[in-house]
Amino acid sequence: MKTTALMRDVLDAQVMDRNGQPMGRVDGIVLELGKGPPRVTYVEISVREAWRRLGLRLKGDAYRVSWSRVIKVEKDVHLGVDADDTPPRALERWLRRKLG
Amino acid sequence: MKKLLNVALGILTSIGGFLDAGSIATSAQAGAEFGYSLLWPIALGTICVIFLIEMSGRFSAVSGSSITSAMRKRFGFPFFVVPFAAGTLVNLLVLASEIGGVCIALELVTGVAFQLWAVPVALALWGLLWFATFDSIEYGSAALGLVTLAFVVAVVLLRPEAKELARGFVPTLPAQEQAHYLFFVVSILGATIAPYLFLFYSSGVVEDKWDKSYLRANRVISVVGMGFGAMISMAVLAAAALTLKPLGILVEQYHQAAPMLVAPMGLAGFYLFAASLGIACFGAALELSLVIGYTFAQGFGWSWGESLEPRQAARFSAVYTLAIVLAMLIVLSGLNPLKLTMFSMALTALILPVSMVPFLVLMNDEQYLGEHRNGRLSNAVVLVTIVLASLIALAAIPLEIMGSK
Repeated sequence: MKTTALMRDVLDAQVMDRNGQPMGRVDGIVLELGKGPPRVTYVEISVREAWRRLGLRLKGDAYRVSWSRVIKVEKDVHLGVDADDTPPRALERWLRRKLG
Repeated sequence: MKKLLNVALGILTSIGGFLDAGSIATSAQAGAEFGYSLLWPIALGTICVIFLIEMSGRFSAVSGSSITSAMRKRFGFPFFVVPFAAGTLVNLLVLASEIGGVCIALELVTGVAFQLWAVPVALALWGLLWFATFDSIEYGSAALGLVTLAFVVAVVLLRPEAKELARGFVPTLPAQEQAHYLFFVVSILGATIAPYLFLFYSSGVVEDKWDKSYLRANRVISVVGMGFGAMISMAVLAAAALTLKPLGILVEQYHQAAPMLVAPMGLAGFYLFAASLGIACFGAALELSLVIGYTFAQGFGWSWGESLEPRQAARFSAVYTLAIVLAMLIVLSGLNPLKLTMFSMALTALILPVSMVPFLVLMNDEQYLGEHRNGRLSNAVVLVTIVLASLIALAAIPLEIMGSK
């Protein structure tokens, strides 16, 4: 079975959407702890989450993508979602509109 | 064939782009004050920069990652913010120094005070990045940058004594003004080992999709391009030593360095100096604006690229726009551009280990580079030089600040 080192290969990696568009970095990883072994449920894409890792207290929720949408983990983490309408590209969209 | 063209263009850009505000300011001042005796830090810095440029090209060609992107992934965000913040701050100061250099060049030619040029120069810079295609900018400014070869021609015309020149390559501490001398050593090292160069080069390699087949081209570009580029830097120092020092001219403002080409070349020399300063600084300002944009985009995972239109990489374009505005405001504040440059160069040297030591760790990472990772020699050369530069900076910067009061 192929294994993935979460801290080395996933956390802080570049995230690409299904069209090969950059959609931020993996700023956090969420595990579910239950009776069995821990299970990765989400990756979080939100700079706010990255700053929280430094101990900053910031309000707001991180944008989460279910681990089931992870297509492959190589140099980058590829997700099977379309980045265009998601929060990680909100600022990009807003600026783009301003540029006409 | 395509690779040969790549190599030729790479060498041309390295030579035409070697000089910038930092190298002109540090070399001119050093030559005027200490003669040839500060040639050795240029040589030492050049050896180090050859290794570093080769490494950054190799890293990106083999791994397909930019240095900034890999640094974030390898070390994680909590560590990454330190070199990111320090690097961006220094890059901003250096960008202001370059814009200041262009403004001074325009002042030399027109007589209109440099602050008044800050806005038009910033606009021209921004306009080119926003509207022009990148290749045209890069090769255009590199070709124009060859005007800086005027310094080499000047030195040949001035007929320096080879023996004395050679002595400048042996490190010696002068009997007087030792603290000031060390400050110059540091500033020259900072100007020569400019970290923005590696980030710029690495991003270019990623964008042009170089692979392992380019490793030899990469090596040739680093050695030949940087080697010949450094020659121009040394020529600035030698020209200042031959013309300004005998007259007792201390360079405290750029204007005082302007006559250095007049002795060998007459009035044309004055205009060649202004053109060299203006073009060299403008070319560097283009690179620095892009590098500041790259650092954000690669560190935070946005779209980036010099060949993308502004709306295809909106955040990236917004960042370099903002950087140009901030740098323009620093120039408008009326700080002496030469002092600003010297300070930025010393600061660059001081923080070299912050960004370069993690880079060296990456260069030794099998996961990124496999069999192409660093050997012992390149590790040792770079590590010793940057730690030395930083330690001298730690001592020399406070002494210089105290001494100038």
